[in-house]
Amino acid sequence: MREIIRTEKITKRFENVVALKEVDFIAHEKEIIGLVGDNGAGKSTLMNILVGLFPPDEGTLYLEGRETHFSSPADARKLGIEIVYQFGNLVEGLSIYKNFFMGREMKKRMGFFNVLDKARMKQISEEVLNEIGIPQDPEKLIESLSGGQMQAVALGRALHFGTRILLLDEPTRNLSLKEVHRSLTRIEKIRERTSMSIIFVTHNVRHVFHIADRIVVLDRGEKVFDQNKKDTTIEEIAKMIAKETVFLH
Amino acid sequence: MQSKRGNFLGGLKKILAITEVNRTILLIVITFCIYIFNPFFYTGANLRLILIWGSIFSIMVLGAMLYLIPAGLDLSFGGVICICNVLAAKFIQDFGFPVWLSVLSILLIGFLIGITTAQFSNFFSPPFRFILPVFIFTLMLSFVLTGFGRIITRAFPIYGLPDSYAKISKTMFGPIPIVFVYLLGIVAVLTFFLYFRPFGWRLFATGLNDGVARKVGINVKRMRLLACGFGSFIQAFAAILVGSYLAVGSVLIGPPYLLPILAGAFIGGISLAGGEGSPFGAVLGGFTVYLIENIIVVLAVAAFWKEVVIGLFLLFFVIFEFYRRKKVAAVLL
Repeated sequence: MREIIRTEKITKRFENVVALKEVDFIAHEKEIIGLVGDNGAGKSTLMNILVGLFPPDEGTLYLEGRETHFSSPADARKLGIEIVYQFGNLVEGLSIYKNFFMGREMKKRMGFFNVLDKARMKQISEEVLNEIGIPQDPEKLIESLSGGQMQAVALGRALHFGTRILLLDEPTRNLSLKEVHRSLTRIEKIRERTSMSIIFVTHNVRHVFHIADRIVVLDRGEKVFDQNKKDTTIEEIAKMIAKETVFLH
Repeated sequence: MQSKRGNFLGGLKKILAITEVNRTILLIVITFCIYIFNPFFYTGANLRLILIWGSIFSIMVLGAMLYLIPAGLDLSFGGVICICNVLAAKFIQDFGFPVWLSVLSILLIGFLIGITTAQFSNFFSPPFRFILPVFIFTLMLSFVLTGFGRIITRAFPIYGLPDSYAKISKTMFGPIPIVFVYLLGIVAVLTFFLYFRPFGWRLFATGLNDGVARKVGINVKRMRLLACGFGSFIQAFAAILVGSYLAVGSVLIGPPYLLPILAGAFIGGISLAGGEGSPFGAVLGGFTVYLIENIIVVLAVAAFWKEVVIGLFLLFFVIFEFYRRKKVAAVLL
């Protein structure tokens, strides 16, 4: 499999706290990686570095083998790195199609000016939402959707804009059982249909273990485990995170 | 038959729920009631006065709106209007600047005040929410700028300004005052940028949730710089209009506008917490606050009641907005 993103000895400190310590991380195309760890393990820090929210203090980031530096999330987004938070990166108070195209608006020529092409944006967002199974009026306010539907909008957006690396931050937290199932199915479908590399960040080992190809465990800023799923068990991962035997049934 | 009637009523309710629509109706009802009490209200002279001062107030509210959309509660515009009005008169009278150069200098000063406010507030946000440093900094600015105005003029008004300066606001196109034309121009430009360019979407997103806006790649700091810069630019223009209309540069012009302009913004449906507002709403708010002043004059109520009436209007709109939002929330749930 082709390497998409790689970090080499990434270190990040916040004053005296070492949030990440010389972490090597790699993600390939068409791969789902479960990035797991307890609170304070450094998952969010690694994720925020990958999406350009802040730079690492030390270490290097490679995108398709080339050394890369992001000065802002916009930079990362331009290079095809998208993050989807629990309920998507969505602005409540704005409509579905505005959220869908926020930051990447489509324009058309009108006289001397380039103006927003609202009709086209509505049409595309409606089509994409139909495609991923949540038919909605694109002019509806985003907060009128359920948590799972909001997440689906964000996933649809990532799909439409040809994202190469999709980071999912706790996508199953606070979702109902039915919505968890739908969310996991959607993620698997995305993997089947695209060559996207998906990094699934979560506390819930059971959810990610079901669909991941590889599991990476962080503990207090250090990478302590990185193996293919078939070479490990869910109990072993859970024990590594909790540092004691965990009964998962 | 029943369902047709239901559809009609449903549609009507939806239209009435639009902030700008219900505020316009309310405004018409109020003016009609005043007309019943005093027919002078609808005379040409009074309507012209309403058009002139309603336009000037609206321009001030439009400036405040640009601060408020990205969630910046600006308290400096009293001070900005004060210093800009005084400096414009000073430049012309004492430094011998031609009127055009004085106006350009004042607009630039206004823009720079806005940029400074945004820079300062961006520096402290995060960790603070943008609204807090803006509130503190502009409160300070309001005092400092008014103070400078007093120092420069020793609190004496500057009279004797040339006719060419007065023409900026007193020119008439038939029955239409030029200030109304300025207002239409500003509304057109703001409507274009807020609704037909990505700038508007991004500015609203910044005010609604700057954290998410940043994560989806919006340069939140630049958005605020532009909004605050042009907000103060518009305030500076309003200062020139007031100074030119009254043909005076005085420190008394500016600070008293704080309550009416904030009230106008709220009445016009501009959220003081950011992310909501429209140029048309700002115009409604501006005209409403001037109408309150006008009504007090027309009904021969003692001028001391002005603040009380504006306060009561605000209370009324808070209650009105409370029930409107409650209804919207119920629909969403």
